[in-house]
Amino acid sequence: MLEATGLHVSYGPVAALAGVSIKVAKGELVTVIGANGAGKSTLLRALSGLIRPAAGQVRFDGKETTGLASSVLVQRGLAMVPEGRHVFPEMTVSENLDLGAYYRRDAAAARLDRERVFALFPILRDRLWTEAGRLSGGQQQMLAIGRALMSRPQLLLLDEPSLGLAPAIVQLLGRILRDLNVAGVTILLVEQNARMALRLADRGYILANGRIAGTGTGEELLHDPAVQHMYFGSLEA
Amino acid sequence: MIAQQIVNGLVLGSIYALSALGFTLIFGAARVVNFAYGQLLMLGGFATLFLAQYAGFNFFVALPVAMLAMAVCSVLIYVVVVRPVLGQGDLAVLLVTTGLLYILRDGAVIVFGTAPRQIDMGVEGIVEIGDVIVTNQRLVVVGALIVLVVALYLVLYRLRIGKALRAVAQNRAGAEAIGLNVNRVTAFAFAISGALACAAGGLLGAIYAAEPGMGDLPLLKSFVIVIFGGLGSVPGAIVGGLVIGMTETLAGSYISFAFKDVFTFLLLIAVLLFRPTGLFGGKVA
Repeated sequence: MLEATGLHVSYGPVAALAGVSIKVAKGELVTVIGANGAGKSTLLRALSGLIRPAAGQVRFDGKETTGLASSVLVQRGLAMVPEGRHVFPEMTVSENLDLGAYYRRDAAAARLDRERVFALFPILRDRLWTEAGRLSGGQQQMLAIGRALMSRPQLLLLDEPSLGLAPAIVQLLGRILRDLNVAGVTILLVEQNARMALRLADRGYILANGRIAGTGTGEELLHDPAVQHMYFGSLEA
Repeated sequence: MIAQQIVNGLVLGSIYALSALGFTLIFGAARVVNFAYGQLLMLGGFATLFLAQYAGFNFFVALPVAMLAMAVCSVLIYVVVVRPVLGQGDLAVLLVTTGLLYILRDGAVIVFGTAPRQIDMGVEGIVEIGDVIVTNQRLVVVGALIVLVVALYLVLYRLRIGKALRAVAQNRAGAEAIGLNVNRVTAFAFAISGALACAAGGLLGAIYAAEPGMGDLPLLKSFVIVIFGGLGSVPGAIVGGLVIGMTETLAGSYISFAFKDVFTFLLLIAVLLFRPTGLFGGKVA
């Protein structure tokens, strides 16, 4: 479904990505874990058309999409939940969701998708007429995911959805991502919270200093001594 | 007497509000301070003048046509002058739009000459309410503000592209992430801005006169109003415009006409001291 080969991105003289290749097959839940500054967000931004890679290739849904704008990719079925949620603070929850469906012409189907979003996140229905800026962090994250789902994506990219959320909310989000994936949405999840991400994921990549430093199934990486040492401390069983 | 001055202030404030609205919209959507904005107002004044005086259109036809033309003109300014330097820092935008200011104003001096010319609105008569006297022309100005504000709200809250404009203004990163076309939205903001500048210019030309320097003061006033009301805030521009217009008129007639601008800036200093984000300013950094 999504394949990136040899992606290079630099910010001035600093190379953020130095030849990253990853692959996400249809129906998978894949995670990219890595420390702060490893290049995770840059990778997602390059995949979703927010920045143009200096070199390398991105293919989505069988077609080359390198350098295409995010407005094009959204219409082809790739949606992005950015780090830090970035909801529209002075608009209501309802308006935020509508903007997620900006390019859709099928109003009736969009209304159904809205119901699906409410089924996943009932709190959004309760707070439909609240300004997004007044929601809690967890609710804003749910809104950001719901907004992305309103474009009816085949592939959902999430950038650090657990950032700054209470553990109970992180668990809830994990369950919801799992459900979404089971319901047919392919997911690429970028996380610093390696344990949460690897437990959820079919497969994972480890990103370090702009390169892929390891890959395996979620289970394998979770029990990989190097990963354990790096992320969980050595006492972890 | 005081009621009369309040009405006069309302008329001046309406023109200020219109010009500040166009100025604040671009800032909100694109974080661009357009120094050539006052010249759009001036060109709008002349466009209305020529359509009304020389092409023989009724003022109320001439003004909307001129607004459309200035919307296009404003988009051209965005595409040709502003967009190429976006991302090169605020100073680059400031310099190119200032350059454009001088090109347009001095170009207008060459083409139109410096003689002020009044636009004939074709509206006669006065209205008397108690001892307050208002010319119908001035009522048209207030009416135009009301009509255009309602239209602007409809555009921003009902049209798809208007909603996208608000989204971009509120959270640009979020708008990009969900694939809104920020470039197109910015061009749209410039179009609306040009139309509003033209409305202010046409009305100013009818109440006072159209001349090449007519955009200078409105640019300065728009600056003050937008800082006063909150950068990028639509209600801030409306309320700010009316308050500043009122302050100038009242201070000008009761305290000192020569120093009327002093009170505007005193008000601005007070707002900046006690509410640095402006009256309606939210989380804009």
